[in-house]
Amino acid sequence: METATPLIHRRKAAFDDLSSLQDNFLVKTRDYRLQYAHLYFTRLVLMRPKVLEQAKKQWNSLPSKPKHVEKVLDVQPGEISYLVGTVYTEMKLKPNILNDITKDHWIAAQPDRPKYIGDDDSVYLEDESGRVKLTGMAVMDGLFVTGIIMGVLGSEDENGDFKVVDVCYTLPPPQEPIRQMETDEADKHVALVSGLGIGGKSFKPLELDLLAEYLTGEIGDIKEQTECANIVRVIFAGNSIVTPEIVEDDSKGKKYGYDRASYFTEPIKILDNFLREVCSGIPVDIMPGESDPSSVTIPQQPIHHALLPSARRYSTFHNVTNPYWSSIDDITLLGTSGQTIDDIYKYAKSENRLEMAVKTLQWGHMAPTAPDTLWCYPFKDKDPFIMKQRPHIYFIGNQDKFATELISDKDGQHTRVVMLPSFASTGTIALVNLRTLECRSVSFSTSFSN
Amino acid sequence: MDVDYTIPVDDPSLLWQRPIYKKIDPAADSIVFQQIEADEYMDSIAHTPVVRFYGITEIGNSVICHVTGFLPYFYVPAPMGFKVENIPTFKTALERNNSVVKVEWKLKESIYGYHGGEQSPFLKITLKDPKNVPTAKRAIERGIKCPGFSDGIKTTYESNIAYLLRFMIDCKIKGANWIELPSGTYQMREDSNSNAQINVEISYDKLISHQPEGDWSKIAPLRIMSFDIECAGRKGIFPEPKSDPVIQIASMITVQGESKPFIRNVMVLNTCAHIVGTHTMSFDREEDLLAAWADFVRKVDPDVVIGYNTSNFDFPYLLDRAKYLGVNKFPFLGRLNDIRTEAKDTKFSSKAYGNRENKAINMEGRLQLDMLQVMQRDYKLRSYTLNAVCAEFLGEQKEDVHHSIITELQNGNEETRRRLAVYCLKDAYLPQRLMDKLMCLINYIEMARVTGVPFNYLLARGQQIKVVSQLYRKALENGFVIPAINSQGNEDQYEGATVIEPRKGYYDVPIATLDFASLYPSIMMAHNLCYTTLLTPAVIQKFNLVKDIDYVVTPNNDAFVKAERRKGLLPIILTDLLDARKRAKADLKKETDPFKRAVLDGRQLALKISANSVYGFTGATIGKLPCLQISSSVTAYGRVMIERTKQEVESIFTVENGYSHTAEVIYGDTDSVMVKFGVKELEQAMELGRQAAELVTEKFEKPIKLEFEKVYFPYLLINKKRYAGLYWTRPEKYDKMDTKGIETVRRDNCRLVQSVIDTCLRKILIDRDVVGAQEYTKQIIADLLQNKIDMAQLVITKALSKTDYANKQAHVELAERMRQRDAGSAPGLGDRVAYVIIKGGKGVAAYDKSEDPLYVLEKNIPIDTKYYLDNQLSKPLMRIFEPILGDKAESLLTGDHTRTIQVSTPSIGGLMKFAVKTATCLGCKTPLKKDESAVCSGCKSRAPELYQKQRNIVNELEVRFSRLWTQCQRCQGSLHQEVLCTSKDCPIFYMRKKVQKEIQDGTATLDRFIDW
Repeated sequence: METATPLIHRRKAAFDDLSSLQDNFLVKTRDYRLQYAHLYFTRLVLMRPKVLEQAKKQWNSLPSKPKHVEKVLDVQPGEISYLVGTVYTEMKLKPNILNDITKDHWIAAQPDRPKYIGDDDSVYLEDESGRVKLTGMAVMDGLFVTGIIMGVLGSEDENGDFKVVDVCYTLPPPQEPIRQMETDEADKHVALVSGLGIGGKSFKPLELDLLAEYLTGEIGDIKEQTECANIVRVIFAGNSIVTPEIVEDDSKGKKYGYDRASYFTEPIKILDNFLREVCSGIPVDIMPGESDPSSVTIPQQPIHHALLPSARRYSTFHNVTNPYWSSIDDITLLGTSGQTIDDIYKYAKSENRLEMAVKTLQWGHMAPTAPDTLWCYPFKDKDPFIMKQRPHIYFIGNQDKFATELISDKDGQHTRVVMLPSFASTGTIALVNLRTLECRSVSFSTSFSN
Repeated sequence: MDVDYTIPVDDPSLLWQRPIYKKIDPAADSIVFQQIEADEYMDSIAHTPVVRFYGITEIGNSVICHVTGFLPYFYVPAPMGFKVENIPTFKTALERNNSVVKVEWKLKESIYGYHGGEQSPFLKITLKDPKNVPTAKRAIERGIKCPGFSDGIKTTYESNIAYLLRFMIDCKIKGANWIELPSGTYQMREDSNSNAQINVEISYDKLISHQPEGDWSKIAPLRIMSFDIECAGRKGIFPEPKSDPVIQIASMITVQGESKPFIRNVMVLNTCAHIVGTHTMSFDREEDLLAAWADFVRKVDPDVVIGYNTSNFDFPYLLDRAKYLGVNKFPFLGRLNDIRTEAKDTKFSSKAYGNRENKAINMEGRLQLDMLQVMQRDYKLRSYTLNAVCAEFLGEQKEDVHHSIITELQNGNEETRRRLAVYCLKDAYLPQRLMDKLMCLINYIEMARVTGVPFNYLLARGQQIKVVSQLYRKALENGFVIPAINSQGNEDQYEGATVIEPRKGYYDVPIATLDFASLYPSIMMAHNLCYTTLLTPAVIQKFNLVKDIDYVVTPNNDAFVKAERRKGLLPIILTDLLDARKRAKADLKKETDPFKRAVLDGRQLALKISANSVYGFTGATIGKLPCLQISSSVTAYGRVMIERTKQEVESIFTVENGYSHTAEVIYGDTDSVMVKFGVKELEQAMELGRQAAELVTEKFEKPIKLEFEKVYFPYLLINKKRYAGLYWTRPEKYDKMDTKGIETVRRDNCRLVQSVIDTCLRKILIDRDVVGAQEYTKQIIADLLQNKIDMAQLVITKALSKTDYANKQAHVELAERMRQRDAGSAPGLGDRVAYVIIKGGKGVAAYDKSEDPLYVLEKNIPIDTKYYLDNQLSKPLMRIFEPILGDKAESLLTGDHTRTIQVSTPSIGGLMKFAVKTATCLGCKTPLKKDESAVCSGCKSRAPELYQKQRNIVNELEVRFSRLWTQCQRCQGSLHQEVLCTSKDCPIFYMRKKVQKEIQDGTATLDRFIDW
């Protein structure tokens, strides 16, 4: 007798690593003689034409016929005009290394503040020629962070400040059209996970097992398994393990000049096993996050493959950068492990992180606060963080809670923005439909309360 | 004030002129102005001296007031037998080479010594020309053909005071006070040589001098110009006026009392992009630039000119350059357009301030405050660069562009020149901000008013002239004359203050401090010590004076009459000063207007300093009127009082008298004693301190007062004049940590010393964690020996003031070596050389072990950490730890933590030529085989761990790199331009360099983990 166990096949999807975008994130040789001015300069030069185009579109037809002033310092008092430049926000509460080291050496550095905003912050617009202070309600109320390229409409007031009545950002970057393939088959999905937090306080091994089984289709009934088979790829958006603890051996008293600290390598082994299991059934992209063994500056480089010796043997295993571009079935994905938004959050009065992610789409830049307050590699003649394309799916890892919104503009561009919570603390992952861009969360729990 | 300076105008130069003034009718209007400077000249027709006041009216009009009719004079004692009838003979005899106007018979008394209160005849000799005073004086000293004078008179009186000061004293005019010219007493003048708006003339007996009190304490709306210049030097050579052009001059004009400048401009050679809020002027020719700036100065007509090192650099440079280029209109920068502005060498030596060579720049009618000189005079700092001073007082780092880069920026385009202009503007504004912050101008004005000397004397002259001015004023009021003593400057030393032998140690109980308030002034007042009360045995005999009834004998065995017989002049001066100070302090408490408060505070400070300087004046052997009987008696009284206080306190506060402990005076110096009452609670110690102060005060003459001010708890008494403690004035919270004599600011110390000592003291005193302080010290020493201390902490800086020192010096030798390496970046004369001490072989001289910190970083040259431990750290550390740990303190410098030493492998020199670099295993350091890149086969299992370790090291460096370089980007105020700053005073300068190197190396090591 044969028991007919239906064989469920994992769906396949066309994958493109978008190397023209993605390769910019890989920093093969590092040159630290470089300064940050190049990055700002390049950003301004690359983005200015697009912002200017948008500014013309937005303001040229105004009855006051505003003029474009090329250099911010050439603004004439009282004349309605518009300028394009880089935003600089002056905030007293921004971490300042000078204060930290000139303050009494014996006091430990102040803990990082949750927010940088304070009472007398000011916003400037700067270009190669200099900077001018921005005032006016349009500036007071909005969210502005260092590093965004922006156009402002207004006029110079009696103090030499520029009173802003309207702002604009870059023209939306192009978006690949979604090819609506009419098939009978069910829709494919991509799974987005962040913050496995292996080795941390809220890490629950059983939930990790459940996740592995879910992703590989080993649990649930046929219906569920079929559903799982529609997941064509899983992306881990950072913080898979927690920062390795330094184990100090105190048994022999203090010793000077000998670093005997060893690193607790258990979490990375657990991660390796987990990934091996998942990779056996589904293509995996693993991005590094703040607490993973990778560079702290963005773009974070792929986690060293030798740290994941068993997972790496699978062709389905891809260790990738943070941020990360890719394309699945012609759907363009862009994701970060969360630092980009975490830093913008410190500039904002609001608590709504989803809004901030949407803002970065408008700004056309995924990490404007790099390098000012977000540590970053000193690029010389490129800025890999400029959004050259409008992604269909834009996910931010390691956020406080799950949140999502489909942003559609009048040009017919759609972007599914997903704020991914940490899996370790919420047990939640997100599934995004690659045809409809619908997004839902799936939660795992090993507690028996419900 | 009605003038509104904030109205924007199309042409900013319209703001330059002073407020217009309304026509004055001399018959109906009076003129009131604050005089800020005065000089004198000889009227070419009358051949008499004229005093010229420069001043500002209340609405800001400029005034030059010529005061006529006041003639110089001096006194000689009439010899025995000389009669009024002899005066014509005397006059004729003296007139032979002098223009004697008149000789009068006056009854006066010499200030020096008590003569029973009798006046004696003096001849008052009035002359036509101040220049004749010294010649007439010398003639009389040598002897003239007149009975009684033929052998010469040794001492003349009041013959050594400057004409201007004489005039001010006689007319009761104080420095920078207000003068009123009543209507109908003065004439308007049309002076073609004057830039002032109002030119008037008045006779000296008509003007009214308002004493600076009440409403007359106000300050006129003075125009203050703060400026800075930039020169384009050649590589490696400090700019020289003969070859290097002046390329930019930035100026700020602020009205005294306003918070922002109303004129900000910069004059630039060649084009310059617009700067918001700044009037930018471009010039094709340097000659035009210089001429335009001089024009600007004359138009805007500043009353006060400030800057940083302007006396010794900016002005001399501008003048020399203008001369070289033939800009003939340039060197007329004062209020008188026929007097050329010149730089003259001056030497200034003062006991209090040391010897200084400076240039003096004359700008008639304008006050000059070179903030560098103010700093050097009034503050003891590690470094006096504008950078260091800003960090100290304004709490900010200043971008510092090296002069070789300045030329590059100038030769760039209008944007780079704009960059330079922004920098120049910042430097032009900083002196103004410093002056505002430190209240220098107001404090100096108040000092001039209190002591009565012209403002300019304050920076150019020493302490003595201030006492002289006050003494002459009081002498005039009281019919005294002052002998002109030709001081020989004998080296007689008299005994100074006393020090109660310190009982060294670390006190973990409250130590109350009892201070005598204004000790020396109050001794002089209490015992009536003065020139006018000084007795000689002969006088005592002559008038049958009785000890302790008519006079007192001081502990120094000098006799002075009591105040009942005659109140001394110095005690009167001191009483006035201290009463005035009390009033100022009382007013200060009531006053709410911040500006008036600043004036009052400046005044009370000036009064205090003045009161304290009187004692020093009497003891200055190279002085105008030394009187060692006074100064020695003062210190003798001081010593007795300190001893007495100790005895009283230790006899009253005893267990026998019912107190919980017996008090112990553990230390005393000059005017304070430290008492250990034995109690553990702050409140108790404070209460006992108050009681003790009251009880002891009763034992002394009035107005001597012992005050309880503060408690030290805990207290670390290291030695005489060396201690540290936590300072409490109320039991709730300590006020501050106070240290004396723990000289961490010495310039030839590296910063590490200061930070280590400071941290140790904080740990000991504030955290009360002696063990923690020891641990910290050991850790620092371990870090030092293992090369983990930031380079900036080890840098020593010295100015390269000349190249031909007698002995070889570390910084001079280094400058020479650097010049050989790269003449372009080597420090030139006038630059400060920063160096660290590097390891040298045996027999290498100390001066050859200095090296450029940047070179050291680049080439991995090993630091002589031993030097830093032995020559820099160990002494100060021992000083603070010995009182606590005794002999055990030595263990801080030896022991486990000093065993591990790490020396960097230099990439140059010596053995490195022969060394073959082999990669070693990052785990166990064994040499690696060919196919191994990071770890050996034995360590393979540890590879992930070792990788993560290296990863963490690199990550830490990445964060440092990002934080340091983004900070510099922020500090320079531009995101799009590269950081150029090379400020060696900035605490992150070397860190910034070092991290670049370390991160490059760290990354290279990380990259060796290709696979494992």
